[in-house]
Amino acid sequence: MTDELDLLRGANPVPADSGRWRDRPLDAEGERRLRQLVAGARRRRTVRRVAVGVAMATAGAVVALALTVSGPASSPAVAAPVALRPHASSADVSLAEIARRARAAAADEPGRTVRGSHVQDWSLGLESGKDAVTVPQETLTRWNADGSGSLLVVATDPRHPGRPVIDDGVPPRTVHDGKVVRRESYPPGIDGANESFFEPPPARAAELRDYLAVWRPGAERDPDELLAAVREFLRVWTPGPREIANLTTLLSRDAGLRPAGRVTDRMGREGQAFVRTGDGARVMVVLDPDDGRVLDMEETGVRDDPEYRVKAGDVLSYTAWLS
Amino acid sequence: MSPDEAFDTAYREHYWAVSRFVARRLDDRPSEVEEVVAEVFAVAWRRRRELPESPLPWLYGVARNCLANAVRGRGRYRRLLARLGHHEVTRGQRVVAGPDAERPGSWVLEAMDRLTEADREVLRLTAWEELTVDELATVLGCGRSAAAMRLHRARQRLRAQIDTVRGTVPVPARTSTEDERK
Repeated sequence: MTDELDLLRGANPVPADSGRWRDRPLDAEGERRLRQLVAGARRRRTVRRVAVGVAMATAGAVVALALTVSGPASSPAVAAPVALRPHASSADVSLAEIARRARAAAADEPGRTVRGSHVQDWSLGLESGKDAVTVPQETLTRWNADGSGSLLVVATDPRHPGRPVIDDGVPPRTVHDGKVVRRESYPPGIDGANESFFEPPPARAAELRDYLAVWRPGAERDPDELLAAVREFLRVWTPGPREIANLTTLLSRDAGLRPAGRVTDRMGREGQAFVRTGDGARVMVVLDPDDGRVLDMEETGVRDDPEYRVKAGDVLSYTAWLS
Repeated sequence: MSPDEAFDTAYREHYWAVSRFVARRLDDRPSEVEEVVAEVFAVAWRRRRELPESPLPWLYGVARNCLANAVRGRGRYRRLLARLGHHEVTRGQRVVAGPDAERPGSWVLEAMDRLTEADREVLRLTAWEELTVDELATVLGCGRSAAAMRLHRARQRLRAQIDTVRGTVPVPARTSTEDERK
């Protein structure tokens, strides 16, 4: 009798020696995708942008927005983003002091880290040769330990720039007139939607950098990658006091940040700003000086880039954490 | 070899194998296969420092996650489960005429279709992706002995179903939801 595996081999619907997917050297499309992948990563390293759509709204001084959001495929009007303007203040607090305060707060109450985040963010759409297209978005994610969860993305109500438009309830629902751009729910399991930073963060600061580097290779040695990793991590987890203490400790030691002064962010919150200028972009991290919570991260260009019609000082992206 | 170079090599060597892996599980729809394969290598690029010396089983593991996510994201998970592994059955061949009447593919696939998704995946990985037991363990995320046992049992059950199918006309189709998420 023929072996059952031999029978199955004979019934292979997609064989290796014939058909569209047969073994052979890479075709032009495969080569193109490979180049795109590698080049994209290099560009992110230098300009820190890819993105489609997205954007920028108000700053302390409100920017007049003329947005028309009718769906993901629409072409909203453009509003020039204005970068946050920190200023020196007698109330300035050093990063080391903020980390110390955060550790003290964690010692009093370690708290709980929550899977999921609530952020308002924008990034400049960079499409070669075209004007920047900007659409502000607000994203609420909730994950459970078994991998199940939900995602809600809403376009910020242009008539109320800077205000939350998602009601952070169970289940989450939209409020005001925010346009629902995307709504997903995920069953249990690990998949592409939740695999990054799936495991809870470590309890000790010394292990946090390696944990971040698992999903953002280079974060263990490159301050730019570390800051990018922190930003990605905080989109997955809302840290409790212990993890906030670990994060601020890591930022104070390894992120190459220098003090920039006090700043009022787009949500009207006062924070302590720190900046790092890397290749192609300057990253500003705004912390709550009392407990070390990350309030905002902003990227601005450091030089003109005529190809993408970006000038030095333009905001490339911005994330404000709302919870 | 740097991680970037290792990725480049893995991409060139295994691009078509990963494409076939996805095509077998996506009913060979080219544009969707290409989309999922692109996602597999995007994830692999991000995790290129984890690439093992023999990257193919690892890439298959990534592909399984991407496939589930891509299909789930479009709300087609149930339809995919209905199609998994019985490519020809979904094209209308619900009645099996017996082993002597046509080439063996159709009734073997029909027999496999009567197994659980977990059994079918073990058999696909072994017969179509030609994995060793060690590689099977890598893809399934279990130990070698567990993988060997799962293969042994899946083969036994396939053999039993082949015997059943060869004497059964017509064969009732199983539902797509029986083993969802196994």
